[in-house]
Amino acid sequence: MTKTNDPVFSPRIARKILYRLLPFDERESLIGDFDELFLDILKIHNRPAARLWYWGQVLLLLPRSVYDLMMWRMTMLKNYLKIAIRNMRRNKGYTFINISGLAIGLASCFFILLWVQNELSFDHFHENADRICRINIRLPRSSGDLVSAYSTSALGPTFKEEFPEVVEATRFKIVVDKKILVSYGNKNFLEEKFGIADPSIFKVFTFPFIKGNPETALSHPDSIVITENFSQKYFGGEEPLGKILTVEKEHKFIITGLIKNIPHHSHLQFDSLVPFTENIRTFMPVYGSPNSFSLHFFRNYLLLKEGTSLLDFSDKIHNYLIKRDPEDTVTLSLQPLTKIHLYSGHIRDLYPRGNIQYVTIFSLIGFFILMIACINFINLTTARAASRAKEVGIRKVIGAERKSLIRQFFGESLLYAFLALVLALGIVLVLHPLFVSLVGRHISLNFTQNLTLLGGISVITLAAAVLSGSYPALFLSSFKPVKVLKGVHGAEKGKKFFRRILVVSQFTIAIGLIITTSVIYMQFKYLQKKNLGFDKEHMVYFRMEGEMKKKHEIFREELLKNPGIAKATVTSSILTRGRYVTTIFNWQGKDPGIDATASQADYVSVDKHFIDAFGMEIVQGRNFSDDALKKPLSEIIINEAAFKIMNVESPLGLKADLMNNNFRGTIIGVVKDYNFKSLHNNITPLIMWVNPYLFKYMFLKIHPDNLIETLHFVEKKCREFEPQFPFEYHFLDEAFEQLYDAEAKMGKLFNGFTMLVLFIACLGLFGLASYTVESRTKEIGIRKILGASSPYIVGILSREFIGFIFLANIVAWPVSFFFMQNWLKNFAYKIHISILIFFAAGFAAVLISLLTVSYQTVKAASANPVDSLRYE
Amino acid sequence: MNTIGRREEQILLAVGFLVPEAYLVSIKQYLSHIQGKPISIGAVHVPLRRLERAGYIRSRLSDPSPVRGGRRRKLYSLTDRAVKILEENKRVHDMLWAKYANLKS
Repeated sequence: MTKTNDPVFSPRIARKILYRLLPFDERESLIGDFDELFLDILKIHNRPAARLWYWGQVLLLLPRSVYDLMMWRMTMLKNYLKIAIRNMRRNKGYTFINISGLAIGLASCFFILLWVQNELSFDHFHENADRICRINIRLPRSSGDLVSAYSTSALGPTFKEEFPEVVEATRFKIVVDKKILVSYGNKNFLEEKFGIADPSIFKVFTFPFIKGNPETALSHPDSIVITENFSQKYFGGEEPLGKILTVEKEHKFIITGLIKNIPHHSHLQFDSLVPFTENIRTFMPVYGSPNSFSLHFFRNYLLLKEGTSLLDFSDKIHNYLIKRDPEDTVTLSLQPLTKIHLYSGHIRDLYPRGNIQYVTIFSLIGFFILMIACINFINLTTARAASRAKEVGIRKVIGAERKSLIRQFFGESLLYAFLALVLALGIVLVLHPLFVSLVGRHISLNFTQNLTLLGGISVITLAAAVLSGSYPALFLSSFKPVKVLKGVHGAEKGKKFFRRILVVSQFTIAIGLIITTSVIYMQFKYLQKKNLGFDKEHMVYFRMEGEMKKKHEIFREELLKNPGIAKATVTSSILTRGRYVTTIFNWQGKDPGIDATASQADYVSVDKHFIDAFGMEIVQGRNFSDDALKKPLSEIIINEAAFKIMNVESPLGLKADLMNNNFRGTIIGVVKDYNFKSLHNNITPLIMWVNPYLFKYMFLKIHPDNLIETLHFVEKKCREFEPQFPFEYHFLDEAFEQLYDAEAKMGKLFNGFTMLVLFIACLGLFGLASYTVESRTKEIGIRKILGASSPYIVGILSREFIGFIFLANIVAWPVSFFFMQNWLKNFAYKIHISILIFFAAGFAAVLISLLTVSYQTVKAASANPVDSLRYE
Repeated sequence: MNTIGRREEQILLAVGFLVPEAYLVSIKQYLSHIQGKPISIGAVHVPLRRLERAGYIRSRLSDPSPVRGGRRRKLYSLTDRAVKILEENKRVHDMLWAKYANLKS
């Protein structure tokens, strides 16, 4: 409206505002009027006065215009809401599918993000988290280098002295292969997380103290620091500081500090902590002196100076070690604290830890689920949009501007998305306990703490709403009312193509997940069913203490008196745990050319009943003799794998030993290979001998009948030998299942995800099918009149969907095959991925989708053509 | 609504006087002049709109005028209905005045 060669000098901005404020139909003349008046004023007064007047007019107009605008907006909003709600009511099924599908997707995405966030937050809470690192050692082994989190006890203190970069060093050890008996008064508990550390641990890590001084808490050799939970267990509400705890019946420790419970997202977990001193060794299996350079039992953590480059410092350490002992094949690496939880899969460590792979996979799945849910939402909304074309036409005829139509449709999809978000948050709240038990981690749900997460989800919802609203908003609003009202829809084709792609991609993901889940499940079943080379059924074990251990033969005889106990044996380790100690195996006539790393073997100490009790098979030679117990280490039984590396015709009668060449024992037999580690690993060489000093566990084969009574009997017997000892027993097969805990959990999660994805995808398909059928009602009616049978019509309606599923299969198969092949590399013993799984998954998908659409297609096919042709 | 207010009556009279040059500004200035004090645009425009909607005046757009930056004027003229109601009002008015004057004198 404004012209550049402006004869009127009214203020331009004011004129523009005025233009917008004035009633639509009179804008031109009124602006002219205002300008004329402006000129009149200019004739009498000066220019500023005229301008002021003009602006004044604008301001005077403002309140009224704003009021008008608001009123109309509200009126229209009311109308939009009414229409939206009417639409929801009219298409209840569709609305339900649309909203619940998105809500489920959002909720599961929320859970996954919650978990991912938790995984990523590990160890970040320490004040100096970015400056702390752990020393890992790398030991060359025949089967590839072994990286271990356990390093020698002397490393930390030495480094602190040698390198200015190290501000503080601390060693930490948790007693894993033994539960520590702690008593206070008449309260006795077996402590699993009994930690040993240097006093400097509280300088390196941030574990907030409730009571006590972190500087001095562990400075006394007999001091102990405990957590709140620990304190609660022994003292209830009483003041713990200064109380004296008895450890392993004879050692007194005085409580000098009470710290907050260790957060769940800390890789270091302990309930109590004592300083690392010489006297610890009298009651705990801590081998080597505090300053040993050869034995690897400790975790060493360093607090580095600010700005220290980890790479440069590693080099420095490396050079130092080479200078110290050029022969040493052990190398060190530094691992940042914040990467310990997720990037330690290859590192030998006993902590349960996360896996960055799983984080990536689950993030990806979360993304997929969300994508599918959003696709559905968009798909259904756009499918329904065509039925709104008439409404758009009418609105346009009545005089709706395009802008207001855009506003209406965006608003509507926002409303749907908002409802879905609310529903999703509801689902999250309700299912949170289930989620926690499923992932086995304490992930608290605190919306105020997870604001970023909540914000992220809201943004995603918003994006989905905008995306799904954009089609009807931008496309429908551009319809020519005449065409729409006449019933001509253009551009249906391109849209259909788009929708097909969406459906195909959904089912690709779903089929991929079905295959993945089945492979995981089959592998898991395979692991459980695999013959391990020994009998693990009905095996109960418990740790022996004091008198039980000293008199284990008598104890064993006593137990066997009960008819419920079939067999009993004593060993140094639990068969499932990799707590076998690996050392170098030497034998008479060993080829000096055999590398030390190639002749490593694990060893285990057992009694002569071991092989019989576990139903193992001796392939050569004989079992231990009765004398073996009197002459420890004199007799050796090796497994087939060890026999193989010896490369001799017959090992029987050969002298052999571990570590040194004293040749304390003679090989008397070869036992058939059995899986003494988890099935992730191959069977490696194993040496069995009788060393009563290392006996620790009693294994009992129990008749399944009268199980409870038998266990009561065992407990009674234990008490007879060791009155104070709390009896804790385990089943061996349960211990085995724990080995594959990570796989089991992943399997469960994948199972859940697959169901979810399939469900959401089916919802989408159902909605789409109903739409397709509806838009072809007339066609079906005419076909029926011309003589088409119902099955034929179901066929032509289903054909389209089957095509989708076929295409989805073609894409999903190679991707999931590649993916699962990679996953199976984690196992030494694995299933072959059979082509049948793929066919089964594809068939299942076809079946499920056919069932999903059948409701609609059958309904349409069996409808009376008269009704369908009369429709409208 | 068939009745018109005082201001509306004034505006109708102004339009009748100013035709064919009756438009917002001229009406406003004419009334200000007669009245002897300035009158706001709104006080003219709002009744004008109402009168137009009620069918007392009709409007047409003039040819573009260079004075107004090429913008057209919305010119008003009276309809028969307006003339009728003005005359009716005047009759009532006059009669009332006459009675009143008689009483006074």
